[in-house]
Amino acid sequence: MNTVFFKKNIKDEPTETEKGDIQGLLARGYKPLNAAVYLFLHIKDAPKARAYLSWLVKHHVTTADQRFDGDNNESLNNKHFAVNIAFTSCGLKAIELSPKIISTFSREFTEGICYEYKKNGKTIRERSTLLGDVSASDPDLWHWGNSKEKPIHCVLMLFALCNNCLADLRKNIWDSKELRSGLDLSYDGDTYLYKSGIEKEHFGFNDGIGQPIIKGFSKAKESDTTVNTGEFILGYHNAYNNHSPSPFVITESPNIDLPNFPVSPKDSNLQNKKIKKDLGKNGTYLVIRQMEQHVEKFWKYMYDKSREKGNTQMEKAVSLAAKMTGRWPNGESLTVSLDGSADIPADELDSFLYTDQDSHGLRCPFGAHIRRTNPRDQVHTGRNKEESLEMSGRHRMLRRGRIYGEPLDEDFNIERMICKSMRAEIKELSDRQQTQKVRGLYFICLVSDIQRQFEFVQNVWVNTVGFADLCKQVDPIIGPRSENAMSECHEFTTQQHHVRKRYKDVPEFTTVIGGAYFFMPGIKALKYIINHSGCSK
Amino acid sequence: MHNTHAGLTVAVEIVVNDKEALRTALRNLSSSGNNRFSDSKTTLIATGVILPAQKYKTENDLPETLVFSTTYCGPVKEHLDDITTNCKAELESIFKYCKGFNSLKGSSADLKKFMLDNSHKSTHTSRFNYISKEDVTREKELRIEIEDYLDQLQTKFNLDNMSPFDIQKLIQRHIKTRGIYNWALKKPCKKLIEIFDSRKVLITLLPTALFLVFLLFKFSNCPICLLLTVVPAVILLVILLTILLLLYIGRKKTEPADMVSKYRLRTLAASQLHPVVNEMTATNALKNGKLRRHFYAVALRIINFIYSPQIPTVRAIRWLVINNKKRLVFISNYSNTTDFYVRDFLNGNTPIGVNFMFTNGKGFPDAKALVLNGIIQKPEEYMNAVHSGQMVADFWYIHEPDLTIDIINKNRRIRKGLFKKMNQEETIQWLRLF
Repeated sequence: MNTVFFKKNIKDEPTETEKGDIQGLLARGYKPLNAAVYLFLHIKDAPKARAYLSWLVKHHVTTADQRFDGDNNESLNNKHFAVNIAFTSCGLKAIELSPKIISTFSREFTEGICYEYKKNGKTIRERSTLLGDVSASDPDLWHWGNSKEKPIHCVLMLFALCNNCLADLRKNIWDSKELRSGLDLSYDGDTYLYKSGIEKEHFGFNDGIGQPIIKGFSKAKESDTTVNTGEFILGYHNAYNNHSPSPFVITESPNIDLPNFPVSPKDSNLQNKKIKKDLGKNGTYLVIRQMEQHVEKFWKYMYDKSREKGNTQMEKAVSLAAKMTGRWPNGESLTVSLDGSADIPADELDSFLYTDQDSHGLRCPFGAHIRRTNPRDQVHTGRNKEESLEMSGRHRMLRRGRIYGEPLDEDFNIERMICKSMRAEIKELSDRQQTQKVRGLYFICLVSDIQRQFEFVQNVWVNTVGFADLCKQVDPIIGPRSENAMSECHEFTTQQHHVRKRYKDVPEFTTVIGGAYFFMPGIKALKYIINHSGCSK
Repeated sequence: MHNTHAGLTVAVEIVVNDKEALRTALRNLSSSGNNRFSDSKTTLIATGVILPAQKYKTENDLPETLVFSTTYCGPVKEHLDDITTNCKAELESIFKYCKGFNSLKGSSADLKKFMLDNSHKSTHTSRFNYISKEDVTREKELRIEIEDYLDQLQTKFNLDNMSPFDIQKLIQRHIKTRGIYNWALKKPCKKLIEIFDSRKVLITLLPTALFLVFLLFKFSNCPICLLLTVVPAVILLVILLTILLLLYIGRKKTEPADMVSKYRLRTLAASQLHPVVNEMTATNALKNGKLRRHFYAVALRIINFIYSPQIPTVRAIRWLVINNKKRLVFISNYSNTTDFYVRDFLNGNTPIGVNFMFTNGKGFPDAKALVLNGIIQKPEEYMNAVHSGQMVADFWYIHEPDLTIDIINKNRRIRKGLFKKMNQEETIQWLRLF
């Protein structure tokens, strides 16, 4: 199984990953640290903000080489909290980093997730169109990330063992107003604390399966799912055995504590004595999207409309929900488990391919969420299994999301969720009042190239109406439905032995209500940004 | 009339110093209600782009040029008759800014001659070849009709309990009762010219014929047979040598293209936000060298006969050289946006064939990097070279803009199988097209 997975992309690279210089979120999702909060901040006074950030880096920012309570290796030195920080491009500007340096970041990052401009009297929203942030997900309706008056400049991510520990951490790090007087809290991104043993997203499905293993970050021997470090961390070889574009600093001082930038032919144009330093090394780009999940609407649609197999309407509802997701609620893939009771060990939940096991989509439909977001060995534009694997391997993302809001049922019991959904009055999301945050997911992914990884998947696989020869449909879980600028896309098809079943008028089950692109620097780069910003003033 | 697709590319120097007026005229062609190309029976795709003056050897020695291109269906004569009749005023409104146009008398015949005189041969591939414009639309409607009928059937019967043959028969009966689909009762048949497509003839028949004549010569010692063997063999050798030579001279390294500004990237990206299909025109001066110019032009002609690039998301694609063979032009229509489409070229085996055509453009990585090692070695340099030459089309028309190439071809397969006698497995496969 999986013997060819990504093998073509992997090349021996002598460089060891510098874990002490990498922020911890890259190496782990901090699973033992159950409680988390994301503080979306606005810098109002650059020098004071720099002083605060400098203190934070010195005392609190967690690196990838640190261990935690709950890890396998128990030790007195283990930490019981974690702190990470990342900046938006306007955040780098607000902290007074040189514009010349900011201009070396990728276009996607410097423009931001909902950048808009006017041309010939028309408002152009390139990124919103590509990502499907339209209608109810229009950035104008977002809770955060869209403000022109008080934009998000950075995110402080706090993780702790329990809610009380998190409150203490927050008190120590954030609540002292003197300490952080240069920053304002723009949006408080609190998350839901799971009861132990249950880790599901709000629709009731196990989440976080199918994570790529980063080369150099796992003790396990390199496996078929190992991905080159540079796919997620800048400064290392990526899936092309090349370096993803990285921000840099041109300087005359060789003593700056940043690594040298990988040499390129254009560097010969640099004037004498000037050297190029890699500001991206050991850093990454971070995409955060807050997605409201309409759980009642989801289960009501499944219950009312399902024509899938099942002894009861409840079973049929679960079956359709599983077909749209691509997994059963317990995380087993439809490709390998016919009814979700195959008792597949947790570490094998992601061990499957499509070509040999389900080439016609009879088990897992072609349009299912997981088949779109990672088509594995059956990319519809790939000519064969190997080529498809290679293509899929160039668009992987490292996901670190958490849910927020109280679940519809605290045990994530699907039968009870369906019963509650059937009783609920579903309101149409026509205005802001009806989209007050209730429950949902902070989708968080780490990538070395926002365009090639996150935007590609979102645009070409999630939002393409013609994906895998399908018509009038996008990703049923996270895709946007019809809008004036888009083709009709409100259908979902489940392939069957003879004739497919077509579901019409599938509503939007998620709405984006906030989002931003961040840069999470390595520790040396973080220090550089803090210490060398404001120098031009 | 046959339904073979081909590309017409008119490239002509702009002489009137009012580029903005020309741009406005091109944009007027696109505006709704004014797009006569949608009425044209033969035009599948049409593009109008202004290429800026560029450097070949000296600054701006390649003049500002208007490139008007179409992908059409049928004989070129009929296409020209069609557009010079239906879209005469529109074409005149753009060509009046070009060299040699104002001396014409204004008749359709003059316009046709002007376009032919300024047209350039291209390496053109359509991935929905032999499907007429009318068929693209009505096959789409046929699929929608059958899909709706299947939905109705499923409300009444459990189709899992029926044989695939019975389901096919029910569909056939339904289509027969709907008079508007009478055209679908007959399967589309290819004309002789479509069957003996030049590419297929060259690829399949030439080597076979060569082998047969060789056998004949071996056993009969007939001197005519010897001649018949030698001539095609020499042709094949010339083709091979041309390609090898081109690869060799493509190894010449030039400066990588200058980094494209974020502002320009933004402008380019904004022109690529159509929901399903988009257009890209890119132009780069060829790397210098007289030998290269001529060999490249010859190679493009040869490639047109022997190679058909199969880029998965492309509807139609072409390469050509203009301005005295000094400038390479690339025009493509494809699903998704440019950057994601261009990334198609970085995947799998596609680079080996497609990027052969790019190796001789200035700013692109050299042939070794592009072809022998694969452009995946220098993906960012390659993407930058494409962006540096990319133009925003001021006029673009495409028939059925909401259909991807895969859906167009799927609709054709549905039509072909509708009344075809198939075995059980084939019938199941056909039903899976819905």
